[in-house]
Amino acid sequence: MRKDRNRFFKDIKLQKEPIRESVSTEDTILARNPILQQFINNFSNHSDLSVTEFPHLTVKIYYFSYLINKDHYEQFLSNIRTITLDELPPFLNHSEFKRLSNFDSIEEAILSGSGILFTEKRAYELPFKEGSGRSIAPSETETVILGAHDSFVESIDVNLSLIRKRVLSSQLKTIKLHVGNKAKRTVYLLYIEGEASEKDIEEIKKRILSIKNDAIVDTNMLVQFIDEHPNSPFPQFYTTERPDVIAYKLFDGKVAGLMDNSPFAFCTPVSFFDFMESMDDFGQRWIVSTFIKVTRYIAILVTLLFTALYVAVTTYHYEMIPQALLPTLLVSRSKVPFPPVIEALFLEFLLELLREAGARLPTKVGQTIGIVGGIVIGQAAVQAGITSNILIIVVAASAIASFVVPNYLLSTSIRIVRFGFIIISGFWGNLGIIFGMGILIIHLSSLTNLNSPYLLPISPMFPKFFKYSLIRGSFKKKAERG
Amino acid sequence: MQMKERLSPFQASILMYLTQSGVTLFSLPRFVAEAFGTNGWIGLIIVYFIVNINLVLIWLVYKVSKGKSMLEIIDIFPKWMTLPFNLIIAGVWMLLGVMIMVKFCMILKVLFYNNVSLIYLLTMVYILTYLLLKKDLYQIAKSTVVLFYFTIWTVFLLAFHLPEFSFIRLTPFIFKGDTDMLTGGISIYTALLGYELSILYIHMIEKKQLKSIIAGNTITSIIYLGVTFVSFGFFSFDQLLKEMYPVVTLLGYISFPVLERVENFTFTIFGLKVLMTTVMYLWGTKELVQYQFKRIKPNFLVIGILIIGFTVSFIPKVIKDVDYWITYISYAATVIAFLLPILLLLTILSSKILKWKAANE
Amino acid sequence: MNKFILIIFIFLVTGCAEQRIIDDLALINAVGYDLSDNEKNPLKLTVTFPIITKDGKYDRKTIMVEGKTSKEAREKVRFKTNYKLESGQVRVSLFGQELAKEGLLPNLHSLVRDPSLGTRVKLALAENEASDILMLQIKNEGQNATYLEQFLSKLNRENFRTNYNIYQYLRDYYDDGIDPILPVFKVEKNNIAYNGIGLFHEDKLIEILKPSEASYLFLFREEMKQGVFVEQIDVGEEEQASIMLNYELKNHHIEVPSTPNKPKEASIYIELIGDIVEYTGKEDVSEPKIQRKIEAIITKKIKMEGKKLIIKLQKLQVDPIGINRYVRNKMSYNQWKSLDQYKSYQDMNINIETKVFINSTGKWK
Repeated sequence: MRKDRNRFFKDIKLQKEPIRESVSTEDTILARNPILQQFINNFSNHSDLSVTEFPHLTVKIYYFSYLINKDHYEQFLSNIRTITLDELPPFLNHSEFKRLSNFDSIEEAILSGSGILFTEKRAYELPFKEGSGRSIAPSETETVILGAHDSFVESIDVNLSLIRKRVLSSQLKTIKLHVGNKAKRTVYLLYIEGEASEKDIEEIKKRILSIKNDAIVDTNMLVQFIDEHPNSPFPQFYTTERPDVIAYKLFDGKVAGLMDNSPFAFCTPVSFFDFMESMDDFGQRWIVSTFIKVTRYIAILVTLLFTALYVAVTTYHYEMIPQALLPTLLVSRSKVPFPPVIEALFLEFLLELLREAGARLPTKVGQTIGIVGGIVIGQAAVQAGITSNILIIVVAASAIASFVVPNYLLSTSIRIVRFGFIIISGFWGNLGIIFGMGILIIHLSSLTNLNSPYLLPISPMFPKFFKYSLIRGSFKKKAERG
Repeated sequence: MQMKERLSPFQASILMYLTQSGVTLFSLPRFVAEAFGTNGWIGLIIVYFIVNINLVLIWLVYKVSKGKSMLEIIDIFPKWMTLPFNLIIAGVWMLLGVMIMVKFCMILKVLFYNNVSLIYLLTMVYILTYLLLKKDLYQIAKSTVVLFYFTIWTVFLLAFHLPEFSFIRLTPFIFKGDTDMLTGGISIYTALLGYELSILYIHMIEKKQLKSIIAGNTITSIIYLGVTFVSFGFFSFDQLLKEMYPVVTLLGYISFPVLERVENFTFTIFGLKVLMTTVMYLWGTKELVQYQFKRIKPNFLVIGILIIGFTVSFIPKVIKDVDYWITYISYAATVIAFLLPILLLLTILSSKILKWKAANE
Repeated sequence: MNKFILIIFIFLVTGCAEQRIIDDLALINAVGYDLSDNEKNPLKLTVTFPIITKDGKYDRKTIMVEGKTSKEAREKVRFKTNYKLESGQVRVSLFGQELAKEGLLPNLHSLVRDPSLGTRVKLALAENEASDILMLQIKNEGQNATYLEQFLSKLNRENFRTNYNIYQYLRDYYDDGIDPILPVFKVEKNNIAYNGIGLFHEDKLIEILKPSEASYLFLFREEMKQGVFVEQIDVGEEEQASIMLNYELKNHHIEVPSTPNKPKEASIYIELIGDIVEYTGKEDVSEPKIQRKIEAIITKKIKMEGKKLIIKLQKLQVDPIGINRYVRNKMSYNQWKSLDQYKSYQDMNINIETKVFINSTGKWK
């Protein structure tokens, strides 16, 4: 399966075009430069490669015209035109030009937007890089009320700068890695020396380097190649768009990773409870944010179990319904021709459709979907006797609860797991729910992230960390403790 | 077994607690009333201390052998000598683990799922058991802690019964009525069984070995004592003798504004506690059999044990049969619980004096 | 191995628990037990359950059958409805007076043995026939079961501790120091009304106390914490005035002096602190002197009426106050077992010690 997909990607990349010699006839002197020879051989059928020659200096400059910043390029041209052959070596010794000694670095430099200047013997990187693509904007997936509003963009340099600005320490170390066989993608690992464990760094490095796939285009994809439990529905590496989160995690002794052209950074080792955190928690008073955190745990339970419990109670355990609720439930159920499990699955599925449609459509059309969905679900379905109105409240409550979970990945996986609970409660009632819960607990507690248990402060138990991960303790006390 | 990670004292206590608290809990107040008579809950405290003595024995084995595991200690005997002992112990533990679960499933069937075939209930249990058992003890302990949090809140449900609790109902009589101290006392003692498995994992506990196993027993005893004490003040004495499963009735008396009669939910949650008992006993079986037959792959062994367990589950037909089995097996398990540490102690001491060397090197 | 688990999962999904979808069920919410004249089928069983009518209204259906035992009769009910009969939602169980006089235990046992029934099912007596109460169609009142349950909860809140469910009844039945009681209802002008308290000797109904007597009974039972006291008293020389007191029971204990043999006497101490909410006499109740006088009169009244009630209880050999529990707790086990409890109870001299304090006279002087 995966192999097929890779082939598909490769086909797209290697468009076979009629071979055309785009590089102009070589100077005899330049031809002696072995690096240039290798370069020309490798980039032989790139019709989009541009070249500028300066015969009086015996140099050639190669670049992709659409990757470079035109202003930088013009500036450079005006500079180089004024100098003579003798002035060339001191000019090139200027610090902004980096000498490249092998083909790999040349390839990387030119593909990332630099120009390459070849002299008789050497190659230099000309800093023509485009400064930024998309400008820094507030995050769409992780919004906060209290806290910084910038988020990562597609440029890895900008992302690094966003983190550097927050971690003003020489202890912040970076490791540059390349992923993939042919299309090399850059991944930076960041950690604070002394805080992060050496073992973790080595492990994550090893895993990233072992990836042989070329078609990784995003961080969220990358982490799926390096996690330990690929068959689990739960996200194991924490990915985020927010530099402040990454900075916080770095200080916490975690290793962060950035990938070029991806606005997401990942960090590891993390536990389930990291996914339950939002940057807002740190801005609030500790009592308030503890309350909010507890609300989130309840929300997870509601998302997982509320609809399932409705199905179990109406299908098997009628005796659990209190006297006061019975008339309402009976009247609203009496018109519905399906068993509760079908009714619930139908409505949940409709809601998932609505949500997915809302996410895929442009914002303006999305609103229409909301209105149509609201009317269909809220009014028509009940009047037509397809669902009961109690169920609508139940499904809506669990949908709302699922949006409370701050992490998008986790919220989605919990919603999927919920379907399992609904189905099993349709077959076995409460017994099924508990059975499902047992499997979920066993699964979650066996998960690991970079060999660190997924449910860390709870199991294995470290009560002193409860304060800073399960709830949010007071900062002052934390400072006193050191 | 290769263990990189060791158990923290807390994990060990929780493991101990969940191994101990089993299916007997549901009828424990009645057993106590039958055995000790009025104010029988005091008897539980005595039983608690007897168990602690046994735990000290187990700890002594660990201490005198300087941190060796049970399997390392018996390594000085040739395999053919240990074979019958190990197989008998493994058999008793396996039967006990299986029967406890069968009993729980049968009660569940009688009370809430009349029309469900036992085979389905047991299948669910064995799926969960397999998922836990295929991993090593450290992983089991990790799941145990989460299950502990998932089940421990049920203890606080006892607060719902306080309005109906009355000290006058406790009566001033101590151990009066038709008492049956000996056999009844043993049957209550078996309710605390499960602690003897700690002999297999005490060497894996990081530190404070004695404290943590006694703490585990204390948690169990406090919960047992709490439930029994509340039952004695909640039910009148003769009523308690008539209640088949007083704890189920206690659970059934709870009523929330949004949901009432949550007993079938809470009772099923208790099933996860019973599950841990079964898992731990089967784990003990697995360890012993694995020691004897090192060549069997662990995964096949687990499946083998589960298949045997599953087949054995269907031999007793009715709850009465299961009770009968459990009574005798738990007598055997009690004997093992006492004799095993004593025999091991003797082994260590004599091997020290006679300077035996391991026979299996 | 995952495939192995998958197969077992599929196996699990093929089975399923017995479905009891709430809209296909006849959820019995009240049952009534009566004796019938029929020799062959001595038990008359009335069940009522809610149904949803065609136009979506919440209505009820009541079915009455005769049978040998309660479960046999229930089987007969099954043939009289198109829904599946389930008893997990039973809220109230009513017993006719005739049946109660013969003893409730057989029927209670069948209730408590059934795992689908909770122990919170409330019990009550019908002054005549339980079926009359359940069959009665009160206008705009919907479910009789709901009505009765609310009524019973209300009585409980208003401190007639009649909130007697199966568990409480059996608890007091099996306790050798106290006898159970149950509230009595009757049909009255197309309405269901509370009409006193039934007293039990073991499981047999002995006597029904009138509501006015019953309110004194609750004064001496320990669960009482607050209540209303209404009485006709004569403070001055003029004719009787009515007084209403909202009181709080500050202190309640029963003392039995420990004696080696048969206990001869017992004392019930109660201490009330009350606020006057109604007084029809001419006197100024805010005046301390008058208050003192009223206190004295009420104390005397409680003592007198209480004594009368207790003598009646002793004569009937019923002990709903639970004096025997205090007697028991003062004796050794063997003495208690050899004691003829009801005999000694009958011969006992039970004193009532009352203290009444008036706290305020409400908003008005």
